[in-house]
Amino acid sequence: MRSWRILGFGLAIVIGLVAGLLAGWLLFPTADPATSPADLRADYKADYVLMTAEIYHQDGNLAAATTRLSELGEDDPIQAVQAAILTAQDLGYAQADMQLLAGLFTGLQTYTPVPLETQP
Amino acid sequence: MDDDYLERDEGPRQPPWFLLTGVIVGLLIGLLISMLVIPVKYKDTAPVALTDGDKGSYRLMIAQAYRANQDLARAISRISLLQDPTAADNLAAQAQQALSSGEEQAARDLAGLAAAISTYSVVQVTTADPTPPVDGTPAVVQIPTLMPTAGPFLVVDRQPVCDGATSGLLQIELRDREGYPAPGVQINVTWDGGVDTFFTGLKPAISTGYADFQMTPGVSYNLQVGEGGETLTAISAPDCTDASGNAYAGGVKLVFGQ
Repeated sequence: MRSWRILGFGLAIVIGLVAGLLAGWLLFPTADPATSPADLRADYKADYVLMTAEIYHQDGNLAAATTRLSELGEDDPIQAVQAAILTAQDLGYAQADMQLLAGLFTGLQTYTPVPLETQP
Repeated sequence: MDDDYLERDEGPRQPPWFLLTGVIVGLLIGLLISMLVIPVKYKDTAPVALTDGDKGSYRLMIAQAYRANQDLARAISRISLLQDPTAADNLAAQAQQALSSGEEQAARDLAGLAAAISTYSVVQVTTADPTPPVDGTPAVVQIPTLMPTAGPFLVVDRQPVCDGATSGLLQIELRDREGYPAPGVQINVTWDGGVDTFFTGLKPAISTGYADFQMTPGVSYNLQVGEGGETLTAISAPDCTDASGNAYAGGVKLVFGQ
């Protein structure tokens, strides 16, 4: 009788725990559903990088391109472009778009960020 | 022994409160874990889930990419990812914000895309051939109407407007060499002690080549449209009289063409 009670109590806790987890994650999520570009799905990230490449192709501004790519949360903007190229290949991007991505990739490989001047 | 047994068995049965207690304890622990320890995290999202600030940056990137590639269909496809039913209006509003922040190029890009989207139309073209198509449906041709805006703008019409609804309003309408509205063109207005800059296309509901400016009665304004465009001087709100004989400041309507 006593062991049945202990077993039942443990089982009730487990049931409550599962219900609590489901309620917290699905019914009352505390996180704001609004996200950042770093949380975008891979195909949307690839299009984000393509937009950056299109703009870079016109203005040639690598610093601005690097700033845009930094929004994707990668440590190195080149990694973001590499990932976008792989995704673009999988999705069958047009040749012209692949060339734009490649142009951005090449540009970033030769890019050296200008260090901020330090105050004496 | 038998008496004890009978006494226990015949007593009122207690409900299994320990089970309810266990469920409540588990529920509290589960809520604690799911809300504080391991809260839900959103991954692999779509642009529609971006924060308002990031949506603004995303919109600007679309506008800048549109300036770079002039691919309106692609820009519309991208802007539709934000699932915004009033995309053109939001672009125009963001352009106005960018302008007030001194980001003229961004404002120009956003206004240009806003105007292009609002003029993007699906035109149903029914062929003049008296023989209907086999399936009986008219041909549908998508015509993105992009307006060339190069070249100086010269004034072609200038009229005072005596209408109480547009009192003191300077209305400007730009048309390109084809006679179509010209969006995204910068207009500079200067007066004694002030200057203002705005773009056509921020009120696409009126016209994508339309812009307006509220004048103060008694103040003389100079206006230049686009780079190298004609500069008009001494523009001021005209004196008008309503049906009751009361004087009020009227508006001015200017039409420019290339």
